[in-house]
Amino acid sequence: MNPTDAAAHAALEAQFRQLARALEKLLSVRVRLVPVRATFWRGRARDAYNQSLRDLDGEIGSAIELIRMAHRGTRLAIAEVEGRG
Amino acid sequence: MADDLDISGGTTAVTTEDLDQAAEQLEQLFRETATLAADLARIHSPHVPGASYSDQSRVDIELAIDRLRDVSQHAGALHLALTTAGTGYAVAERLVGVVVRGLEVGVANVLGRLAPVLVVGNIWVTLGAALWTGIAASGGIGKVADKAFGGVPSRDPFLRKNNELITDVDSVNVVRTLAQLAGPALLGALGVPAVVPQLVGVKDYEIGARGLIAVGQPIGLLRETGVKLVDTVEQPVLKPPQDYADRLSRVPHVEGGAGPQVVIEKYTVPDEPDRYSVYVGGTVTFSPSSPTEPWDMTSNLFNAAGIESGSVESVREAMAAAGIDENSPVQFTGYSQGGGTAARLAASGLYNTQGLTTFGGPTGQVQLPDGFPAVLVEHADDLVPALGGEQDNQRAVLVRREVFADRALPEEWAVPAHRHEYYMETARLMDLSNSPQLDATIAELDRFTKGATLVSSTAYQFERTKE
Repeated sequence: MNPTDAAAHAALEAQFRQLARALEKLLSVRVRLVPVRATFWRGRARDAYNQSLRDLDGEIGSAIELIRMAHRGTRLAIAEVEGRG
Repeated sequence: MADDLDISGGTTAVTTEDLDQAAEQLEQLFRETATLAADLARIHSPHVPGASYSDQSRVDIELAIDRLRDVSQHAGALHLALTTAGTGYAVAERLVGVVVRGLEVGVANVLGRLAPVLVVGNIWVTLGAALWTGIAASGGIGKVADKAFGGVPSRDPFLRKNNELITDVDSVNVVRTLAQLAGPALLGALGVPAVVPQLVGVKDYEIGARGLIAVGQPIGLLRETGVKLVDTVEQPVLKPPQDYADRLSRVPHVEGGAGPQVVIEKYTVPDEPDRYSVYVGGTVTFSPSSPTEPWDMTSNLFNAAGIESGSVESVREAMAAAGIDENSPVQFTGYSQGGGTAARLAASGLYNTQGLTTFGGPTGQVQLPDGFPAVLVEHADDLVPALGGEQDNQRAVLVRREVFADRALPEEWAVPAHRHEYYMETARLMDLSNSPQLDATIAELDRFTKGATLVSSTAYQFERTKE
């Protein structure tokens, strides 16, 4: 492996580990910190708040999916670099 | 839900427990997702010529950072909305309460003034007045009433059959409003302007009870007497109380019978005056003319009227017997009438009060001073605290719970939500709630006995004297 590829490989390995950690953290955050649906308020206020919670959970789900894709892409990029010998 | 506690007052704004918890989660979500976005932004994603996936993952990382920032902002906005709603609710509730009450007092006074006009010529009123005069002239109905109302209402088949109505939150609110407004209505009926009670230092709420006492006494009811100490029992010495449930468990409570009404624990602290915990039990009989029991309806009414009652006098005598003077640090805990009694003593200014905890007590119109931690626990479907009128002690920590919100009502009791066992259940929920207000207040209450040694626990039983 030439020096440029070796440096890139090391950087991709570090990125792979950081993304794995970020993914683990975000999965935990989603479980721990997205509140359950409201038991307080009634009527429209409760509906609007609960919809906001659903949106928030959807945004976190989307961030998780993006990090998963980046993680998978990084693993494939590492394989590409390793494939070049 | 029956397990939900609505906690308000104390040092923070009115919120429900769930609202508090959600706000805390959202604040943490705001912080943790912002940190995660910053962590991802620090990744030095390399551009590797000929490795297409590395470019794609760099793009994905950028998008994930943007999305995490969105999440953080969204969580922050929701957190702000919740905390603002909590505070706003507190302010609005208090403001509305004050304004509405002011209007209600006026309306009740006017209705009271109209009442005699509306019922002129009503034969039943005339007959009732004649009957009352006749009973008063014949020496009263004290003995009959004691037989009819003796014991606790749980034994009354009619009340048991109708406990659904009694335990309804709306009915309880109506009772609270009526208790609050009986005074102004009575004054109105007598032609007294609504401002007069304030001028003479009597509360609107107290006037209703004073009116009932004035009507009852000529016919042998609601006559306050002296009290005497008839028994003291030394109890096993335990550790100082550890939590809310432990405090309530020390309040004397005998199911459906007479027994000690007061328990006093004495603590010693090196180089400091002895300190005392006073526990006061609930109503023993609902008789308005009990010949022996000071924890009766007469005391309930006298407590409501703001006049020294048999139960208050008994506790004061027990405290004196225990060696408590105006300088002795003392904490009060009471259940039912004991809650009202404890609140009256704590508010009297006659003792060096260091804390107050009441369960199901009619405490709403007892004006508690600042300067000591106070926790007032009321079931929203319990009639008894409602008889104390609107809860005006907003600086105390108020805990409300609807016991039968989502479970079947037991048929064997008339006022199930007032039962000691359900207040014990609530006390346990309070201990497990992780509420910042409750945790901070119990820590303050527990400091009272920190480093202290419990040296005695004495139970006192009182009876009424003939005069």
